[in-house]
Amino acid sequence: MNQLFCLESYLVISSFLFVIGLIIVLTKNNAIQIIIGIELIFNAAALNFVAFSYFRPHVTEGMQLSGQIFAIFVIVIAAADACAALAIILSLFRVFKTTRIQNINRLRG
Amino acid sequence: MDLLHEIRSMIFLAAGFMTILSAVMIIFFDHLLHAAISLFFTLIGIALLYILLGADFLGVSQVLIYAGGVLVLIIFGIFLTTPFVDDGREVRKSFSTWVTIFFGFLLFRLLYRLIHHVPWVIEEQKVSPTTKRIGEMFLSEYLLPFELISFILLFVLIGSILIIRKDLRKP
Amino acid sequence: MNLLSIVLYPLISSLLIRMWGGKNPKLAGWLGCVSIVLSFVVTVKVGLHFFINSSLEPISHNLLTWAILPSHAILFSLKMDVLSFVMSLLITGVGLLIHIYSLGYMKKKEYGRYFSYLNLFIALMLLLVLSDQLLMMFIGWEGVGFCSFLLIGFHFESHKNMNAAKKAFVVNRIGDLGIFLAMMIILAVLVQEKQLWSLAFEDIRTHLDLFLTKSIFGMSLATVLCLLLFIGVCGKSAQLPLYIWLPDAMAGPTPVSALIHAASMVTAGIYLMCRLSFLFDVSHFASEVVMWVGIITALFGSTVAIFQRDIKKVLAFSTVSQLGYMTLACGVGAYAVAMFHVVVHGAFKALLFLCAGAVIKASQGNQDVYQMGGLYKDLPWTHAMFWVGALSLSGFFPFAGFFSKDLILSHVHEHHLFVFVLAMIGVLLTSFYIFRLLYLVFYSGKKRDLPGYITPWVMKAPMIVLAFLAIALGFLWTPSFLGSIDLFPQWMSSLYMIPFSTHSLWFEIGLSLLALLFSAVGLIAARKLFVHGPIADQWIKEKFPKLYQLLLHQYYIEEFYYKTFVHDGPPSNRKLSQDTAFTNSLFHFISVIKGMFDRYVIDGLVHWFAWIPQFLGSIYARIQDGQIQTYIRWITMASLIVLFYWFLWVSGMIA
Repeated sequence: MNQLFCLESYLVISSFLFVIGLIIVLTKNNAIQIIIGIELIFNAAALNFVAFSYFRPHVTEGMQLSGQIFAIFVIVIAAADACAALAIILSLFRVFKTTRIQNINRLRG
Repeated sequence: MDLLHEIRSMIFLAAGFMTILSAVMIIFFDHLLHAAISLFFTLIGIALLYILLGADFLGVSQVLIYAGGVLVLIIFGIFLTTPFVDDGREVRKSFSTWVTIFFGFLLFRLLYRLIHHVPWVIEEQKVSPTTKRIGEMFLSEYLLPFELISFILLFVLIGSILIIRKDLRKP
Repeated sequence: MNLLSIVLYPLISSLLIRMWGGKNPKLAGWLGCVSIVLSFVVTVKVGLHFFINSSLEPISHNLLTWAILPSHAILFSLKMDVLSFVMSLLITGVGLLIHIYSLGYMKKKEYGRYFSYLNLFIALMLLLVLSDQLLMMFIGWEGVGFCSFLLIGFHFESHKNMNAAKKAFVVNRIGDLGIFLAMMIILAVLVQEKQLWSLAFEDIRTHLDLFLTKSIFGMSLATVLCLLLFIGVCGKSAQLPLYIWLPDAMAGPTPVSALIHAASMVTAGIYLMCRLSFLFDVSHFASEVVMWVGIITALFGSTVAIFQRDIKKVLAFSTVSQLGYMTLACGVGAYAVAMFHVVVHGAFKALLFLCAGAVIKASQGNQDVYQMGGLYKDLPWTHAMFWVGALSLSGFFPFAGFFSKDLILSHVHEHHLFVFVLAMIGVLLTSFYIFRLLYLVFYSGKKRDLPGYITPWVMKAPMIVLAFLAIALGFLWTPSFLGSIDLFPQWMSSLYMIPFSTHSLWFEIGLSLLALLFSAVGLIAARKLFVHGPIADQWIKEKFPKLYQLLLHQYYIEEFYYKTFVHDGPPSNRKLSQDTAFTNSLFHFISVIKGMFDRYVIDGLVHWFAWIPQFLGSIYARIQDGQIQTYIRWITMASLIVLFYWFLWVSGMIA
């Protein structure tokens, strides 16, 4: 049972989440679905950082929690990104009255 | 000790399972709101995983910011952009969709093999409260990125408001 | 150099006249005639070589080397042997006379175009007879067909002329198909069997056995070739199925008719048969066909000529009939006799046409015999010339036609009695129609007074020369009981076996007398019936109207052709603007099939070719559809493939 809780498992989860997020981004029609996918990708990356932060060999004091700090940065960036993306989507929605990306296909000045 | 480890493993299993399952459900739900709820559970699962890794602050802030902020934002976005006319959920899974999924699967397989191929040198760390230490880090070593992050947040906020603002000029 | 110049003089002068003769008719006239004089002189010079060396070996002149193969080189060359020499003399000689005559006949302002076309015609005709292989000959063949189009349609303002010109060209073309197919077969056989890329007559002759051993549809290849070539001959020499262009071709100026349709172009078919005599000799069936077509055409021509009203039409049908006789001679294997008749016919028919031209000019363009008459007073010279020509045509004694016709009859008798009888009937009819013409034009019981017209000397002189020839040429080949001069057959003997006549001397004499008798009967009958005008015509019209109409309308062959192939309606001399729908004719049927073929096969091919890039394009277009998601997909997948490949490579699974 100990083998379950190890670095590889975490990495596997993280890569799985990454692939799922990638599939969502590449496959879905709805713009908001794509944002969800992007968030998943971010989360996968963050999980990766934290996992390495825990399962790492001995380093100096300052570097001990660097993984987690980086994960915080990731969360912040992801939030900012989601905010900006939603702003864009909402203003597009005003014009096109739809969020299907196939229909948002005219560049407007 | 063993028992704790076992409990830990079981919790890990549960959390991991929930995360993965929710992630997969995101793909398969056609209704946008259902997908968002699945995302919610995914995020919660990830928070649990963080906590299992001893990142208590991170886990909590994940729940707060992600599940409680970003997700809410997304749900608001969904509500604001619900199509008035139901154009039918004609999301036919086309050929290229399946090709993409196949490639995704291939990628996952590659990463999986890669992960299990690398001889990781690991040492488990001691678990201790991290909040204080993170705060100290932010204000000593990672000061610059911290400041920059706050700038980014500011810019993004202002930018989003600018984008979303209706044109108030007189016609 | 020598042989080439024979062809080049008229060719170059044709170009020059076309360029500058329009504004300068004097130049056109002079240059036109001088070039033919030069050709004639060179021909004679070259021909003298035959007599000086007293050998009859042909001289050849290599024009260009087409290809050099391991075994030998393929040359395009001009060759003059006795046959070509005789033809060249005919072409340049009679051509020269007609050029001079045209100086008086055509209007000055027409000189430019006219002489350039005429010279071009002479050049191409010379190319035809001087080439030593089928392909170059075919160039000349087609070329003269084209020139006849130009010349028949010389006065192109008239629809009738243009229709006639088009008809001539098209019908000729139909014949050309036969020759073309024959050429292809010959080439295929020679290439396949002997790897010989040649269409030279010599080569065909040497490898004649090849054409005998193979067969198609139960006929030997030689027979097939002969039949195909004969189709061409029918087209060019106006034999029965394809003669229809010749009567209509009278729409061209009279000297043109004299040259092309008496002396030169129509004899090209006979020339071809004489050239390829070795081929016809080995195929009994084809020779039979030739013979029958010849005699039927001869009879056809002479019967139709009886009641025609237009001078030139009578002469046209006369040409058809005489060509039938020449074909008949070829059909029984008497090629030298046929050539002899070609030469003699060229002389007297050209003479007759030139006389007709003088008459037409004197009557200010009227060609209707019923409105002529009494011209013997006004056109004494022409009158005399016409008598000479008519007597020669019907084969009276000292005139040339007597000798050539006699030879034909004699050789035909040896082969086929029934055909001989028909030929004799033809002799009677020939004499009848030509003297009818003569009496109607010059006598007709009238006495006309044309407003002081004198035939200019430039027109009289050629007629006189031709009249002389129409008498003198006969003496090149006289039968045994009249001196046995055999200059002509001596020349020809290098090429042909001159068959010995198996008849006894008395039989020959009897034959000649019989033919003379028939001709005399025709003359007397014509005199009795027509010397006071076309009374007999009226009488026949009343008594036997159906017969009259049948003959007048050429047995309705024209109508038949028109209805089957072209249009349900009136014969082709009407304006084209009256054409409406093509309904139940053969052309309609063929055009429907052709339309389907055109639409589905040819257009289908085009559409298919267009469809390929369209299809591929539509596939490629899916890559770039303006959707960013698509682009990201492609990029991701491509980079993943690279990634996979790299990993596999690194891990050693791929070398």
